[in-house]
Amino acid sequence: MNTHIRPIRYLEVNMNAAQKHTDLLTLASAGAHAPDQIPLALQDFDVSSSLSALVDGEVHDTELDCLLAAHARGQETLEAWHSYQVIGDVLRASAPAVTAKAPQDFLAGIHARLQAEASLAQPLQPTLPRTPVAVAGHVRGPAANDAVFRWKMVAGLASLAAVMAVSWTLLGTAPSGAGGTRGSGPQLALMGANPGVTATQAQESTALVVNTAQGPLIRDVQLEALLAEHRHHGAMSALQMPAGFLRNATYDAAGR
Amino acid sequence: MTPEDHTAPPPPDSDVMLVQRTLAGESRAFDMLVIKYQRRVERLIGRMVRDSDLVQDIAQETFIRAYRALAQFRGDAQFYTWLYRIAVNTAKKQLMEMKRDPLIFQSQMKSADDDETSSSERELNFHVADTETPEAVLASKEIAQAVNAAMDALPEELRMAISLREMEGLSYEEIAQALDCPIGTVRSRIFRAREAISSRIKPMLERQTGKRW
Repeated sequence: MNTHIRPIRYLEVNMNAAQKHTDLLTLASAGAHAPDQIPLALQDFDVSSSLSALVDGEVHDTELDCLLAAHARGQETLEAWHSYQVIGDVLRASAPAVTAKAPQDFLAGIHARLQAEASLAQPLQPTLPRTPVAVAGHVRGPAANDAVFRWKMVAGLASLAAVMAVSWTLLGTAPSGAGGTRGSGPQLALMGANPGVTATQAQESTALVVNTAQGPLIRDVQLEALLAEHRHHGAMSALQMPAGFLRNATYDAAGR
Repeated sequence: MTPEDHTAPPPPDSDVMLVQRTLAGESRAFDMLVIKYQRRVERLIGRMVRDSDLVQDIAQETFIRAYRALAQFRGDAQFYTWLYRIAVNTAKKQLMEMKRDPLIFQSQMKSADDDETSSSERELNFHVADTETPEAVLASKEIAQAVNAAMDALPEELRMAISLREMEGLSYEEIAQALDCPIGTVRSRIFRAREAISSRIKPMLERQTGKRW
């Protein structure tokens, strides 16, 4: 156990970097990692010198521990810190030396507002996790809105409703009867699905095959009536007005 | 490396250390950041807002927002650059809220210049001060004169060391090489220079604040 700890006095020695780190290691080995555990022998720690180095970003972590501990003990750390900052700002001409509100009052105002908030009660935590997160075997936790919104059940019901709607549409347009062809055959063969022709009429219709020069021709009464009906409506335009840019598809053409 | 070499990397940033300590629960470290940047933040906001009380409020709000968001500071940029963005956004938000009342808005708003690195920044130094009280402006001038007088009275070796550090921005190692002396000597000289100047301005700072820490 190190019982004698030499106080750090940078004014007395012209240390090089190696010496400085050696002294800081001595300080660290004395158990000065935590500010509350700094030995009493280190009360001679030269706060102002370290503050000056801190202004320049030239202090070690352990030295910063001592500085913050000195600040906690009520030494005039902030006063010296403020003075050094003012000197730097004036020399660099980067900020006025004095503001309307004294720094003590300004700081007190911030403390008061922070204490009024609950955020001060909880110490700040970095966003990055301190411990590595195991990627493998990661289990997704419950959603934040699980308790108030049963989205899984609603999603299932919505999917079921969508399937039923699609099925209903397909069934409604599918050909009835075992002999019906699906989609690929001529539409005239789907008379059973035509709302204008009843099933009874379809069954009562009699087909007659007539051999012609062009080949066999099916003559059917209802088929003839259906073709006649198409002729009647085929020349009409759905636009209810003349439309020269449209050519109506009718069954009147000679080639049909 | 010579003092004329301005391409040297900047010295390690104490702000990052203080941020890390604040995140570790040392709220006193944040106090030091506040003290360090209060005047610069107030000056920045004073370029956007006319009323000095409002400048104070926005500056406080800036630091409170910075404290809340401190965990998001990754250290990629300088701490003041990060704080600068918070201050500008806070001021703009405040001005937008005030915009609902055009009379107040017109009376409070100044021509905002968001260019942090504008060449006129130094010139603005001591006449941003329509946000300051006349007493504060006078005190600033007196302190500046005292600092300059104390600099002139310093021994050459101390004046050179603190000039290279504060004005040229050299690190201790670079100053040691330039002055051909150990780093510990550089540190000691800079500290002694600061102490000598500080002894001249401390009574003035205490008189200005009217209270001790």
